[in-house]
Amino acid sequence: MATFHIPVTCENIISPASTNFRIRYRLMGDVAWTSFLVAPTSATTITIPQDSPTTVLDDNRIYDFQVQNINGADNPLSLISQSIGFTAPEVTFSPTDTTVGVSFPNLSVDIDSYTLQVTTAIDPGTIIFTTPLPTGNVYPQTMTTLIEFLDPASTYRVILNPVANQFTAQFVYAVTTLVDNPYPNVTSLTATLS
Amino acid sequence: MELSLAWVAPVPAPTCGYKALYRANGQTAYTEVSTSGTTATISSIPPACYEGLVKSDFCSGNTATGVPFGINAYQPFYVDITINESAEAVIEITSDYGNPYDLLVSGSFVATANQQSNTYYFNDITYPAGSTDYSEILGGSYPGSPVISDITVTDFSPIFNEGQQLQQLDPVNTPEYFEFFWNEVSPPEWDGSPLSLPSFTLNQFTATDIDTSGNTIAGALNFSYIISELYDTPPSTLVELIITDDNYNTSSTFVSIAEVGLVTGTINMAVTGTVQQTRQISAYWLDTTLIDQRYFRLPIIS
Repeated sequence: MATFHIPVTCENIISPASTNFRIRYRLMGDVAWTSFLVAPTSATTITIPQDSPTTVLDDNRIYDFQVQNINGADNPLSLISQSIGFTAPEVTFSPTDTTVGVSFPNLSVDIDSYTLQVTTAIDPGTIIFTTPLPTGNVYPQTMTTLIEFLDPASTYRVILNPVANQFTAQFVYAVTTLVDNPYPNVTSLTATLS
Repeated sequence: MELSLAWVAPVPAPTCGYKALYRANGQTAYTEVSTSGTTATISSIPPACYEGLVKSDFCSGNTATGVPFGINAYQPFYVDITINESAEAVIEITSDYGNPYDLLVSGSFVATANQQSNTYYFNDITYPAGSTDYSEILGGSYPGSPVISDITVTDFSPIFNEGQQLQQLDPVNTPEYFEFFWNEVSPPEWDGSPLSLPSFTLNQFTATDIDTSGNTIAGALNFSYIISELYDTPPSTLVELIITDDNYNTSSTFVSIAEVGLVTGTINMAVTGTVQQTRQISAYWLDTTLIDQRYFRLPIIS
């Protein structure tokens, strides 16, 4: 279940006293709105009614929201505010002694890209690897990349930033490379076919 | 054909030599060759694209993780034009090995006689599958024993009876294929697109969603390719493969061109229209620059 934090400014909020607030929302790009009324409250959190599956907001989707102050008359609707509730992708790491394969599902058609950054665990302020992973707004799909040139038996922080329009979030994972293989590989391998 | 592998020994050197494992594209099992030196030569293998790895062997089952290799089997073909006794032009196409599929060859040549030169064209001459030497009378009349020059191949394309330009004669795990190129002594420079590799194959399409009428509306398309060399300073190490159907619906995935060896992947795609319809697959750099584009049909087992 996604949680949205949306600053809105309602019209004519002082007088007369509000009798209700109408909140309406829709998926970005949809035409139709879903609306409901809430009584005036000092609470800072309002839960979207969840009395049917259709009113459950999806994670990782961008929604439009509007709030309308009702105090004897319907005041103009607030400007449209957008928000998205990101969730952390379930990332699969495939470490070797010097590389880490990364794969995770793209969580939404609204996510334009992911940015993946890597730092060492002991120096989280220094980014040693970064790569954009555009999704092409395709869902579902599996995102993959390979982090190379790492040290054996070392712990790294992998920072994943989903980007959807102007929204982003940050999810941090830890991964440890394997110990150095005591049996070294050949180098400069070439293959020819004749 | 002959596959030659060469490498530099690690330090410390392995106590039991090396194991070279290789297989043709589409095969499931590797063939293993042991050697004490830093080369391996595998002779008398059928024309195909090959991939595998070389492991240092430290005895008692202790081996290095292995270093991958891949090699795409390009081979040249040659075109010659002569004038026969009936003053007709004859085209002769030769190659060292036969191709699994018919090849359509188009081009031009210049005939000079009596100090006058004229350019003539030939279109879609079929070089039959399996041929290594094929001749065909082009017809026409070329009196005066003209001198033939400037023989140029302008286009060639294999004929796949399953799906146009991509390799998919067999519905699943197409075993062998090698791409012709002409009048060259080395393969053309790879442009970074997996689609341009002769090993690029659409291996299998599996329906994942079927509507109540039995129509496939979604599926998973498995593909594979072999990277034999890394592209020189690519704009990115990821390439996006996008499938577009007649209704402009798209499905895509990202593939790596960062390591040599075999790469496999899956495109989860929506299916509109019929599964048999022709689609287009495109390869893009991450900055959306188009690298290559081909038509294909899904590899369906009928």
